[in-house]
Amino acid sequence: MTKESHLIFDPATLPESLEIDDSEILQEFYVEFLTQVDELKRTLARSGSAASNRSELIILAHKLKSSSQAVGAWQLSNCLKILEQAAINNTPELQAVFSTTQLLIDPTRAALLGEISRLRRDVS
Amino acid sequence: MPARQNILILDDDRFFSSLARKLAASSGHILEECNDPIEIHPQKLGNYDLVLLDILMPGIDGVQIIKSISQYAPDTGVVLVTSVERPLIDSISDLASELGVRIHGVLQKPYKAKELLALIESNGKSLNDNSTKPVATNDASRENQVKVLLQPQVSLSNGKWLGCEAVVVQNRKQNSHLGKSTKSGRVIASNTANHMDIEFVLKTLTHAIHLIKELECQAGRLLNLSFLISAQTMLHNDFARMLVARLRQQNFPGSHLVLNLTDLDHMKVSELRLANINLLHQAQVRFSIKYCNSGTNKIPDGAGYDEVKIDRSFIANLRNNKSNMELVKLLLDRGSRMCVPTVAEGIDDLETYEWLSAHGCDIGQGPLVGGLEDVGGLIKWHQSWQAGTRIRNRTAEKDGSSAPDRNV
Repeated sequence: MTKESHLIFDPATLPESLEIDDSEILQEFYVEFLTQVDELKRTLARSGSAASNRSELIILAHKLKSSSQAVGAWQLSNCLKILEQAAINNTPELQAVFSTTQLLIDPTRAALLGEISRLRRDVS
Repeated sequence: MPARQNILILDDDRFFSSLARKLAASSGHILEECNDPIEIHPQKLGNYDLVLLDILMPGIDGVQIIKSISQYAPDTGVVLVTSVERPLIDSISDLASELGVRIHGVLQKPYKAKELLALIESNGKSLNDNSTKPVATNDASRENQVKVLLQPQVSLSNGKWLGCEAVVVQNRKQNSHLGKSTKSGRVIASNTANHMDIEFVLKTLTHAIHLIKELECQAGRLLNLSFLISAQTMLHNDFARMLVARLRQQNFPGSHLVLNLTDLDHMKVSELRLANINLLHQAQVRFSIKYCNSGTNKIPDGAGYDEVKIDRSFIANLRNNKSNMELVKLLLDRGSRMCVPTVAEGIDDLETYEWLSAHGCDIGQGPLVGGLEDVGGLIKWHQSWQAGTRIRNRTAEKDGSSAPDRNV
């Protein structure tokens, strides 16, 4: 586990892995990721409980765990990794992880939106 | 400057497919995104130099795509892009190797830009090193690359389309070390020019098989493939084993493949590695020996050949050259006595076609029948051949008169 893994969002992660500091391009990637986060939020809300929609949860968690790590949304990424495994194995912790994931979405969104706003200011 | 590559990314995750597209574009490559792999037409996979493949996607898994690549795009490299655990990646890599698919690398998500770009650049290098990627575009940057074209072969008794001879060509209008220039500026790159490069031979043969299979619907049956090959290639220890494995991978029956052996004058037939010959015969692959001025000028006995081919130099002007006519008669007689089919190449006029047919030659090819074509060209050729317009037009072109209608 790296030191960044405790952060809700680390704005240095994506520019470092892409080796770019172009605010416009970074913004596009964050916006793309935000679309996925919104999709996750809708799916979790629709599901109500983890057990009711395990297959969709597995697909979504598998997909988002990597992209959230790529953008530096570390806590969400770690939580999605656990959620994916819990959903695959249908473990007793599944509902608790499901709830934690739901709780992480809004702070992650807020942090991302803040970074997008900052980048927009850079561009203008 | 690295050559531009056509890249396909198959990934249901738009974040990573978009990331890859932007990174590839920044290095001058063309990357096509596909987020729903079910939409992919397997036949189109051969249009790409590299496929970035997500192993786990909803609806379809990477293994199915790898099988399609094995069947339709054997020269396309694959980079496995995934966030799954290593043992699964290894087992997929092993499967791909067994199917003859080139796994060019693995990218663990989330990957760094430089990791992706390094794999793309090294793929370009490996394509250039092999120079065997058949391309279907007219892209100027690719004009030096080689591709495989086919020339139709027909029955001289009933005009039925029996098969095609595969010819490797290089699209460039300058001298080439690979072979001789044609009027169109294309260079015939002899299939045998790189006879010691077994990978080259197998790749071009694999592509030729792929093309011949594409023609199955048009022809109404699987056609035969005649493939020129240096006898020296047969000396390679593993050639036959590798070839038989390719045939199996491509689900192509050996009985439909004729290996046209050349360069026999440089070696004794007995030097041919018997193990190779035997293994290929067991797989029902047939061998053809070509009678020509510059190469084999006597047909060996007992060499296990299954077809006698007569070089174009004896067929051109056949009707005006008595000694050639006698020689061709002898060869046809020889084929008949040995119960092996005879093939005449370079047939350029109706009189020669009919003379050969009357003297028992089984199969013919040449300008009168049809030139070198890709799959699309052969489909058009077949339509005109069936309608009889090919011979009429060709004859009218040559002597300015209208030719008799010929029902083929």
